[in-house]
Amino acid sequence: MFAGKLILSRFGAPTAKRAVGLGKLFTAKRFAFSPLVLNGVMRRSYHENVIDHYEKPRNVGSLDAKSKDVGTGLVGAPACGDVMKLQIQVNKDDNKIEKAVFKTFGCGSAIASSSYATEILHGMHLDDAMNIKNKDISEHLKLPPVKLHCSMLAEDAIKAAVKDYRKKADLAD
Amino acid sequence: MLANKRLLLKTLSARSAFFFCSIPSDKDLPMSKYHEISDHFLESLCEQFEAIDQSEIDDVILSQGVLRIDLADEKSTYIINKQSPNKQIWLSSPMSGPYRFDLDLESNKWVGKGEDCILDLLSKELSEWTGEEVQFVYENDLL
Repeated sequence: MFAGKLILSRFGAPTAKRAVGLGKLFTAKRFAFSPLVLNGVMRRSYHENVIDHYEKPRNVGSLDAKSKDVGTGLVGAPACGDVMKLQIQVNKDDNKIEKAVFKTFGCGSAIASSSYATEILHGMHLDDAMNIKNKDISEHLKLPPVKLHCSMLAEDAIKAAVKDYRKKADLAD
Repeated sequence: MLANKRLLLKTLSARSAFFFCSIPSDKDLPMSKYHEISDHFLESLCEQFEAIDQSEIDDVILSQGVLRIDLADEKSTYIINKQSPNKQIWLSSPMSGPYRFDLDLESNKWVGKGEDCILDLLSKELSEWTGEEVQFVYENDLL
């Protein structure tokens, strides 16, 4: 069970930031809802795939970063608006990902991208995980042009987690 | 709860959270210089886009560090924007996806991870789109 608080900017839902998995540390200060149609012009709304991941994120949580079976990828920066932590637990015998979890601070697209990433990582071999492209994520979520960078950040998080696991595995050998 | 606080503190410390970006120091590229160069770059690019045949491009808007180009098919959009915390320029291409560019301090060009310059990429894609040769240039002598 995760506790995520919603932070809405003055300009309405599409620029909201949300901390998924980060508990009570972020609280809603003030929010204003903008109507979907403003002055006769239709505002862009999120695709239902994004809303699905935003409302029901998959695999939120943490693994023991010190464990030899776990790779951790921490990417982004609060100043940029998005931070993603993605962790994988790998079976050392067949190099397949047994479990993938995430925690993200960012917009709906960033949360959906990292949530979707953990979904597709389950059961994947490490080499296949390194081949996941941001295009796979952005096409599934139908991300608009301005949010393609979120899928790229998710791709970076996956690669960082795999590299971290491999570095640990090499040291252990 | 304690673990969550630890994650927050870890992510808030700027150094640990930057994984794939190495930001130029204030000595190499002061923020004011970054703003000057990137603003000038976007303005120059905006004018060059406006000079392209208007039947291929619907709209070109530059506002608050974001350059948006709507292509004539009513669904493809380029977004080129400043990413000030990283001192970068970010590009979102409807043809090839997202990119991040850093300023090469010697040539004053915006280059990506694979040493590809943003203007070479845009020139290639817009040439394919319009069917004619499009070549974007740096107007750095005006800086």
